[in-house]
Amino acid sequence: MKEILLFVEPTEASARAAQYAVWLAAQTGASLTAVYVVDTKTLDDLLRARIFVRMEEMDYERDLEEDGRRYLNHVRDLAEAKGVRIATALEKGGVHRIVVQKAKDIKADMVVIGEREAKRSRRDCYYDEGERILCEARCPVLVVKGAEEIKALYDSI
Amino acid sequence: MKLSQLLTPELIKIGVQSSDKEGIVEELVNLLVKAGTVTDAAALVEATMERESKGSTGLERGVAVPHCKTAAVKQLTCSMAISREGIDFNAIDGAPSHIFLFLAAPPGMSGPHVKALANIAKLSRSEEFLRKLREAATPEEAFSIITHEETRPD
Repeated sequence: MKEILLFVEPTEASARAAQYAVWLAAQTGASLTAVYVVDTKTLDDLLRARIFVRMEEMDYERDLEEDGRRYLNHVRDLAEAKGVRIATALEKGGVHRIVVQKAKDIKADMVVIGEREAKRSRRDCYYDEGERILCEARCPVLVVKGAEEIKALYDSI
Repeated sequence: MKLSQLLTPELIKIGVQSSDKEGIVEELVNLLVKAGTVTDAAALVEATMERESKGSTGLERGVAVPHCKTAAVKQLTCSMAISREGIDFNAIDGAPSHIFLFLAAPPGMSGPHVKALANIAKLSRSEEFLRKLREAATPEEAFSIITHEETRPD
């Protein structure tokens, strides 16, 4: 394994996935890239639906960019604390499409994502970006489950 | 972020007293005040009306989604009012608005706020769902209709 792509989201499950990805990169010697996508597709949808006005869309986009930088910095700190080299990417667009494309671009051997919330409808599945990555990625996708076990792995490095 | 996770029957009002936009917003804010999630009701009304001044959130199909980002709330918070008769909310189709979904979030919660608004936009595409909601007789029935719509398996 040479390239691991970590899909970063603003969730606890994603933070655990980050710990696992760092552990995996440390074990395999693979390069780690973390990607966060500012969901501008949804912002555009809200603008088209007239729920947002243009200034508001721009304001929220800035907020989401700041969120993304914060989450990526956290993941970078996690990796560097264990001596794992990491590249980070803050992208904009439709989330799952960008992640799938990024995996292709860096020739990722694996995409690592956090555990998904329980789904109660097909609509939930359709709109979950992680589910879409699972369906559309052209490389293996690892869904990280568990909490204590993951922390123990990370701490063991 | 699902509406059924943000709403409770106590945050839903069937029938409104007001006949104008600011009055409706005040009624929606009062629901939140009763729930204890608002730190400054006047500031919340003001922030919402300021947002409305930039462009009405009265959408098609009788739905209005007044919303704002303000420190006057502690968390992402939501309330709902339904008017059988409908009220002029300057909707884009010119028709009266019947279902008012109000969302407010403090600075720093833009991610969940956007997801909740996106969810409302998706739900608002269903004519059948909106018809049932308009005809709800009680807050409990309206909440049940929302929960059913958000959890049906198909």
